[in-house]
Amino acid sequence: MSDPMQEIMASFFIECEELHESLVDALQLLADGESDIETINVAFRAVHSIKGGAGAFGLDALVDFAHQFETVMDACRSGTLSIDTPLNELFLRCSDMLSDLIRCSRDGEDVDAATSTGLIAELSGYVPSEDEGEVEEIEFQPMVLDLGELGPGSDALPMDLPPLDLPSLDDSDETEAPELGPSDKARLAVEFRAEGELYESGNEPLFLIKALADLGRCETKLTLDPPKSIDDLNTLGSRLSWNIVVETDMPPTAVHEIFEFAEGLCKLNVVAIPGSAAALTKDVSTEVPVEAAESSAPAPAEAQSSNTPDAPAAAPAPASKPEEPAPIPKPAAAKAPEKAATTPPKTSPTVRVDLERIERLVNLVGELVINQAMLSQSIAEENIPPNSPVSAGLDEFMQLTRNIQESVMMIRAQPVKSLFQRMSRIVRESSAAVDKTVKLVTDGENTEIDKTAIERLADPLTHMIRNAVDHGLEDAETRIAQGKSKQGEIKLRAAHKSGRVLIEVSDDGAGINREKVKSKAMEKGLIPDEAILSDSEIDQLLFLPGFSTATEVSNLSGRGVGMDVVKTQITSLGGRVTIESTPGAGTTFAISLPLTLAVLDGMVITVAQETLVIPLNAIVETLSLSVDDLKPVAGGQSVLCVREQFVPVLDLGVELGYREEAPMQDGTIALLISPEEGVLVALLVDTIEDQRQVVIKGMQESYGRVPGVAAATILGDGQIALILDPNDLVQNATGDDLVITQKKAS
Amino acid sequence: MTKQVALETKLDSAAVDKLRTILLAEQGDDITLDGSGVQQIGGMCLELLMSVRHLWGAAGHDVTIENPSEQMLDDLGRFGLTAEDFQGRPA
Amino acid sequence: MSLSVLAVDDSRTMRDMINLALRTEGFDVHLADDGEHGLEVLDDIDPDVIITDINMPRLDGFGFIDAVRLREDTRTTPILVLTTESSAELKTKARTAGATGWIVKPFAQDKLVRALKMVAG
Repeated sequence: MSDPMQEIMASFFIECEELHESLVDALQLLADGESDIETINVAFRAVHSIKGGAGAFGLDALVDFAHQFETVMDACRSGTLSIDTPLNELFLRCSDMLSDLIRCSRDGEDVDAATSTGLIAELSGYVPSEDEGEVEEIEFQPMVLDLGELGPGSDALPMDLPPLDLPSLDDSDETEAPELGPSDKARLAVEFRAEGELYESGNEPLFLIKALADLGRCETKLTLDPPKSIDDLNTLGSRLSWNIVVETDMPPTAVHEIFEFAEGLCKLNVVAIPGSAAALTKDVSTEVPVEAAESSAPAPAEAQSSNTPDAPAAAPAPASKPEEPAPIPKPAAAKAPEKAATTPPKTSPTVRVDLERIERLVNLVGELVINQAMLSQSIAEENIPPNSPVSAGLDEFMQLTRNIQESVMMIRAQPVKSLFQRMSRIVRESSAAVDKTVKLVTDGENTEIDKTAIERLADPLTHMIRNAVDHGLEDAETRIAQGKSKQGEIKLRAAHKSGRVLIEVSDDGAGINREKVKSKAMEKGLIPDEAILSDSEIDQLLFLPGFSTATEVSNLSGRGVGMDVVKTQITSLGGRVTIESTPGAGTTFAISLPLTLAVLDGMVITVAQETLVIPLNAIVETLSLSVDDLKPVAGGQSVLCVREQFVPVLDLGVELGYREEAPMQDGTIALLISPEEGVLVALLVDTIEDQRQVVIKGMQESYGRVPGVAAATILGDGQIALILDPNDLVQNATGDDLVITQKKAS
Repeated sequence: MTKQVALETKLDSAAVDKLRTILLAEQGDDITLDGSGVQQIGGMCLELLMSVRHLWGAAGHDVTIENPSEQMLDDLGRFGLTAEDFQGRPA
Repeated sequence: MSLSVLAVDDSRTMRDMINLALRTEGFDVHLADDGEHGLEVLDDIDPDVIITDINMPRLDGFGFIDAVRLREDTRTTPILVLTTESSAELKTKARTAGATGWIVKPFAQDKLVRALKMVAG
């Protein structure tokens, strides 16, 4: 284990993200006018907790900012300040700044001090920053040993008490302090009387006296103010008073600090009795009036009633209870709590785990899946009857493996909420940059997806959002002219859909200007001038490298990132991105991602003696064909007739270059896939071997992106097989575009 | 007649009401308090015991502590008392 | 006998820090996320001392202290309030609510331990 404080700090930053999330949520509710009384409290607490933790780690920039932020929110929740639109916007900007500060603190980066200072100034405009609290904080800091911290405003007794005439102390009552003798050690005489409130507050003289003993050896004398009648037993709490002489060099303030919590709930008088050594070196007595010396430094034995003006009249003279020579208290060292915690501490229902450990677990489970597949294969080769115990055991083993794998994947899964919240910031910033008012609507924030995917989606989503704000939405005038509301809307939606995660970014803007896109593409030489393209083909042009529709470089575009980069990023996550656009009504970009990045359900097929894996979720249907199922069409191609729909056919063996085109055999298998809604394509393969989970082994790091190939895997027999991306395969198919062919056919 | 009362383990402020009820029930009798089980005694209970000892003593009855535990002796010591302070009759 | 402590704070970081600071000092530490949770924990254990934050969801520190003081078994249990503010007003408020003492955040381990000693030995 590394330094526990480091771990707590790491966990603090995670908590900060969560707190920031709830802050953003609350501020959003406030902005939407859907807040209740608790909303501002939630926001306040989030900032307050961030401040608290940041203080513990000395993250001053974060503390200062959070402090001013929290101060204004505190005024809001106490009702002295009401939240209007400008203030709420300021809060949102502060929330963004807070997020930056957290990140900078975590990564040790430089903070944008100017922005921070500017925002603090803006906040101060609402509630002036009060330094009072800070000053007091220093004053009240319970720092026992660092007395320099105590300002002159402290209510502790003056530290420079005049030295006492020591012999007179010892002469006054020899029986009082037989053990102290004419000590050269400095002492403190403490007079303490408990009062009723003291006990009620939960304070206990026993512990205070024990704490006193930490300062030095104590000589303690107890006096009971005797009760008059039985009735007095009902009013306990103020009949005991103590006179304690502590052998210590500490000033009286040390005692006052111990009695900090008891202050005001007891009578306390502390007097310093300098040791003879101190008296010799520090002769200040001549400068102090004798009167003061007497009243503030009485001999301990007489302190009780005669020298404390505010002592209750009923206080008895010490002589009223003749005490034997006071016993010497047991050694003064306070009992330290034992070092061993006997019961385990209660923990909150979450456990933090190093991501590396999870990765290791994921990899191990991957190995387990492979191993299990190998074992299954070996057992199958032994021709063991299916009802044998071995087969039954294997089935259970497979089930367990799958459960373990799913559970492990669940560990990595996280709701997309944090991602969506980051996007709300992007919307705010980018809409401000192009001077549009945009509302972000999110849906399905609790949809869970692999943590890695969440991290790696941030970039592409950011770009898509910026794109939507910049190009998708019209400016206010145009919108009003179109009869739309002035405020544009961007919708961010996440959902689970047939084993994948679907994330959609839609805007209610003008839709893709296809004429413009097409002419731009021609201008840039991306398509031939005479090309005839369908709407969806034109839309696809947006993903071509180097394509940009913005005729003017706005504040947002011109960053050199095109939608082609977005597509590459999504593809690298095993995802697909599609566009749907309706002129005048808006555009939707849909990202479809696999649930987990490590394992997929695949169909193991062979074609031309090569074993390949096709993701099961890509396959709509499998058909066993006979020769006359295929109908030849113009251009030497064939189509398959499936339920009165003509489906283009792609021979996988030919497409992948494993074999020359050959006449189809009976029994050839067709896998129907659906690269987009309502479109089917048939992939011809030789055999279907198995349907099983495979562990994805990335290839891109070694080989770069290979069109049509998603990744590789290791099969049960140890053989390496490619995992195909059939949709990519179809889109990159040689010859005519199969989708277009199909549209013409159907 | 001497009444035997075993003192509770934890004689903190919360324990004072119970202890008072127990002691008041033995009004007019000598009381021997068994301190062998005491793990802690706070100011409130101490004040009660000393007060009871004082009142009972004035009425001619003894309130004494027997077999004080080591913990109890330690706490009493810190308060400035010894086992002897709970023997015999207070003056 | 190690002292048992119930620490109530909605901030995980604070809970972690208190837990670390006190466990290394040999305290028997119990943790709760907020006042409501704290009261639930008190059904199971009777701590020697309670530490509580003020600003918490569901049931805040003041409400929690009120409830603790109303329970027979915890009527006089020492309660330390964790606070970032240190204004005299807040301390008065804490005391009025029934707290025994207070700890100003951020705290050093020795300060925390010292405060506990002052109220619970």
